[in-house]
Amino acid sequence: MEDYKNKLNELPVDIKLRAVDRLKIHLMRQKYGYFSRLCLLMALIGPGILVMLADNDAGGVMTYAQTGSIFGIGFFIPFMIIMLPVAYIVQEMTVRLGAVTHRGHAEMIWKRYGKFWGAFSLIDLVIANVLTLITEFIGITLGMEVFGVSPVFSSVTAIVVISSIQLFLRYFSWEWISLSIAAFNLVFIPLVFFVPHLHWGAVARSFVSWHIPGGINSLFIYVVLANVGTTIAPWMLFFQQSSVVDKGLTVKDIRDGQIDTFLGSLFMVIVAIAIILVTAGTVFGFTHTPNLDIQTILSAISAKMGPLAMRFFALGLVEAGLIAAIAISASTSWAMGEAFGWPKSINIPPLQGWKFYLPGIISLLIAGGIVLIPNAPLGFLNLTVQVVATIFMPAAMMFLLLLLNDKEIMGDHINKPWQNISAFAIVGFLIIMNGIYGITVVFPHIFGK
Amino acid sequence: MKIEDKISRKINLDEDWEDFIKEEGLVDYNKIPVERAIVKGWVQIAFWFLRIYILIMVIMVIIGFSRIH
Repeated sequence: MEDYKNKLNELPVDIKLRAVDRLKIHLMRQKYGYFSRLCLLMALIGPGILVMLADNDAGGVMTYAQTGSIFGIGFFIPFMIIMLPVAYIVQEMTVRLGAVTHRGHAEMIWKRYGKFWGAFSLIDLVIANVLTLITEFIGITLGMEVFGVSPVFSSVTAIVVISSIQLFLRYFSWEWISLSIAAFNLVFIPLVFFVPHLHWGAVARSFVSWHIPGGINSLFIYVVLANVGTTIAPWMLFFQQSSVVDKGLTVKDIRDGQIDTFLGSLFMVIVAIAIILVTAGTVFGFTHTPNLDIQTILSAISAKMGPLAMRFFALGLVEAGLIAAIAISASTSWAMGEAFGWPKSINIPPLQGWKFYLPGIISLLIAGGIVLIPNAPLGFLNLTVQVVATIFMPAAMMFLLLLLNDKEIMGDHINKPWQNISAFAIVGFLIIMNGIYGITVVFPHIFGK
Repeated sequence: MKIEDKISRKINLDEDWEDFIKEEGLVDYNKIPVERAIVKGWVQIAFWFLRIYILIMVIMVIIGFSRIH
């Protein structure tokens, strides 16, 4: 026994802590029965649920809220259901890639396709992450204002909380605290049952008619792109793969990782639909501008559903910003560590891993500082971030597909034909939508005003 | 009781420790090089498509932002 413990102590601290976690998994795997299997699944889930609930971030909540407010339920409820397999297909690939290679997405691009594409992906990711973090802090500060908390206090507290859990906790504790925070994302679901005059028959009919109020115009395409952008974003690929690697998942855990990703996708879509239903039932018809701000949405919810419902919505907004800021700052740190070959694990103590933690904390400080600048154009900034992310998504997807079709690194876990067909269809859809959006930018009235 | 002690009471990995480490990927991957991919055939076409796509999108974004008042 002593020999084994000595061997454990010989490992670097981050790998030692991961080894302890993996020993627990190793023990669980040797037991039989449904309960033991469930315990194993519970121990292995995390990255998938976390990435998907973090994807319903403050920007996402605002996008869904604006979608429901502008277009109602006619088109976007069925659309969100379609987004479930889309999100699952894309994110499942990162589970396999991480479990097989034990390396993050940034590292794989950098080392497999060279410094140029590695740097291109890293710069894209870091810029998009900082921009997205700004929207998270806007969500946190606006949500907390409902409870009478000043933006300065909310912003500083959020930075301290997120940095602390990243710096001082090991991966296992960090993941469980993050999942506990993410659970508050479900706060939007009960609100649906208090929406006045919500006709479930109309919701069901939306699947048959798939009606677009106002028809296809540039605003509609803008909102579709924003919804796609918030459902699948580049940071999610990098985050989940790095998370899978830091958790230590192996090829034996791929099935559990897939269940984890599916559960996460399901929760994500249910929450998104709940937000669209709430805002469609309270704000739809109120305005037709994409620059609809969150205060207007909160006021409408308060007027039609009462102040308690509005506070619940604000709480959900704060949670959404907080969990996404945790995930996005971690993805920045992981990606930088992977690209530059630094030690890269949340298991590393702060002083030993300061280079790894620094990029995430700096991105939090930048975003938390910018948000305190008065009169930030929230609605516009939010939709723009989503659109920018969608434009760069095909590039990130292409690297994912190249790696998943690389027999040399993936071996037997290479993409199956149906996975390639689905993934290429998603990339094709993104490119076509981006192209149509680009045309509407150059010729704004091509689809009517 | 430390978690390592709890685990070591239940399992003896002294003999197959190396297998466990290898199977679980508990090594420093920074020290293991990754071979650069050979870009040829459809992969090369994909890279050219990506370059053209990025160029077009950057132009579109510039036009889009220049029209924002």
